[in-house]
Amino acid sequence: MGRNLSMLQKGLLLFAAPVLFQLVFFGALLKMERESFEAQSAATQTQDVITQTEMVFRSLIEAINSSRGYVITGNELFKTASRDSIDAAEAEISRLYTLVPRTSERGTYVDLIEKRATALIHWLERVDHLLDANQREQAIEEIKNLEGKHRTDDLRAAIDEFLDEQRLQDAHRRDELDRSWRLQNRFLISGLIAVLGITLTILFVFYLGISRRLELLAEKARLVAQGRPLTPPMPGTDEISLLDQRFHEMAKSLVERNQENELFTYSVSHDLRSPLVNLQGFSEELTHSAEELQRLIEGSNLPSEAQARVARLLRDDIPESIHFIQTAVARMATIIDALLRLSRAGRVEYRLVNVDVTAIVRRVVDSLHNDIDQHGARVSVQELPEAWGDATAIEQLFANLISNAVNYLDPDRPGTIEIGAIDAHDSGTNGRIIYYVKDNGLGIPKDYQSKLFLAFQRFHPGVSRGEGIGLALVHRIVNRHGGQIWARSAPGHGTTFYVSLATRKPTETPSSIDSSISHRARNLTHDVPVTADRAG
Amino acid sequence: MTFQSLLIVLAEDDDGHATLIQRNLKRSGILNTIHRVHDGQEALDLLHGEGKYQGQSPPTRCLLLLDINMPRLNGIEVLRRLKADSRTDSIPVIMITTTDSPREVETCYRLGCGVYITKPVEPSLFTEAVQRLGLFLQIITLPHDKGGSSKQLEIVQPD
Repeated sequence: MGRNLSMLQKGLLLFAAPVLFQLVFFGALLKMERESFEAQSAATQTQDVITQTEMVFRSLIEAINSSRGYVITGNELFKTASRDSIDAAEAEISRLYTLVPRTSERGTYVDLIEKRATALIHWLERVDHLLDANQREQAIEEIKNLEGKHRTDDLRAAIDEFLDEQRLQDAHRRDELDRSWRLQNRFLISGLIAVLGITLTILFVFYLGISRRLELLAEKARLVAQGRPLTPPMPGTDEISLLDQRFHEMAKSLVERNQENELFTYSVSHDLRSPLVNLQGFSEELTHSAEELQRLIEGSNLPSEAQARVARLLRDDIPESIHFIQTAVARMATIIDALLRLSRAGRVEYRLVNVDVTAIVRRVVDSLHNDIDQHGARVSVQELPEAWGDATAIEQLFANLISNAVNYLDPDRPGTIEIGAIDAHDSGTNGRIIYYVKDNGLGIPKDYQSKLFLAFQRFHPGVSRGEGIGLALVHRIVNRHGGQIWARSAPGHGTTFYVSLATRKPTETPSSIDSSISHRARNLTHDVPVTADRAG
Repeated sequence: MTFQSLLIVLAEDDDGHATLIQRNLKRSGILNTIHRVHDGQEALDLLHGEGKYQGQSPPTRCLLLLDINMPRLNGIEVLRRLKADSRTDSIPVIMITTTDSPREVETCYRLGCGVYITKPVEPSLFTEAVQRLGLFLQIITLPHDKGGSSKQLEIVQPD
């Protein structure tokens, strides 16, 4: 999935998850706030209703007390007070109706309160009327009987019923609010966890899709730089896959360009050989002709002075000229030869087999025994595991390295050369073996170590002959085998060359882009005419 | 037993190379006649009595020095045709060339050339080559002792 979305789509997806959560979060927050506000106002309203109801009752109690006072004292003030209280109670009932509409459920309770209150008010008014009509005795009777108390009690009962109902409703509402809050809390927390989880999952998927593929791409760049075959192309259709495709195309074109270069080098070198034959041959012929002339002159009748001059020409000048021509031609021949050999190293097809490296190395050491004895060196060959590669190429490889080691020994101390393998017993682990050729010779100065494997650079000129392509050749061979070569050297102490090769046939063949990149570098070789190079 | 002298046919397109070879052979004392042709087609014409050599009977006994890189028809193709034709398949052939590419060498031997030498043609290598051919094709070098200091040879075949 990560492979087929463009970078923009991936970004949007990653961005969308948290944003989505935030939207939901705000929505929930708003809802909670509104519910809380509603609950708040409901509670306030309930409080008002309760207060209002109590005020009705209180007013009526005041009315009763005032009425009693009037009956007992006959003072007009009490009558007025009673009247005022009754009016107040009625006003409060109306106000109660504004708080609790008649049509609502609670309205029926208020209706009952009103009815009972009205009944009580009527009784109070009856008492007042009796007093006004100077029927004091009846008024007192009226007060003495329990009618008033009954009506008051009824009113109280109605009020209490109403208030209980209110409080019940209130409790309900609070419970509901609580529950709603808890639910929303849980919802928010689990939502947060879910979004975190989703974001992390998406991040992880995109890590696989982006970071890791970029790592693979970087690795491919490294393989190209080392001239090794690339890993297979990545599937997918997003920008990274596109980049990968372009990369493979680029690597392929590099390879093609290099192969063209090699082909060019090869055909030019090849064509140059023919005129070279003529140059070499006819400079030889000139020598022969001069020799014959010399013989003729000696046996002739030329005056002695002329004879001397002719003799000098034939004996010194002409041969010297020819000698310089021949030297130059010989140099050209070696360069052309080296070029041919180098370009052939890249072109010739390999036959890959299990190579008995020990046998090859022993054979190489044998063939060099003259040089080895001449330098008085000691060569030891350790246990060398088999390698997977082309036998001829591997022989060339070791021939070059070993003859270098022999030829660049330090004349001031006895030379020792060791050829072995690291982890000879662990070859099974990762399928690679590191062979080494170690000498205690002249060494390579630090400055030249980085340019070691470039062609046509001789580091110790005069120490031995050769055109200077041996290490370039070796490098080409190692690259084509998918291996690596490096050197450790300390001037004045010696040099060790390490070569890593596959020890057995690789189980999976990587896409066979044999990118050969030839560098220009310095090296210290003596070009050994290895048996593989001699035809016929 | 009587012997017949072999005609050495040299197929070489480069005049310089041809001259060098002829001089070297002479210098090493070989007395046989050397006939130079300039490319593969001419060589075949000579050996079949066709084309440029129409009407002339082809040489009965010869030794062919065959360069590989020639225009029109290269040495390898000439070799192939010679060996495919019963009239010419027993002619001894020495391939001479500038290249030493192993693949080319293999092809030549597979096609049946006797020997393969790289240029420039060292006289000693040449006589060695002839001697090697001799093992297969009954040609020998007959020394001519003319009493002179230089050794002289003639390449012959028994009748």
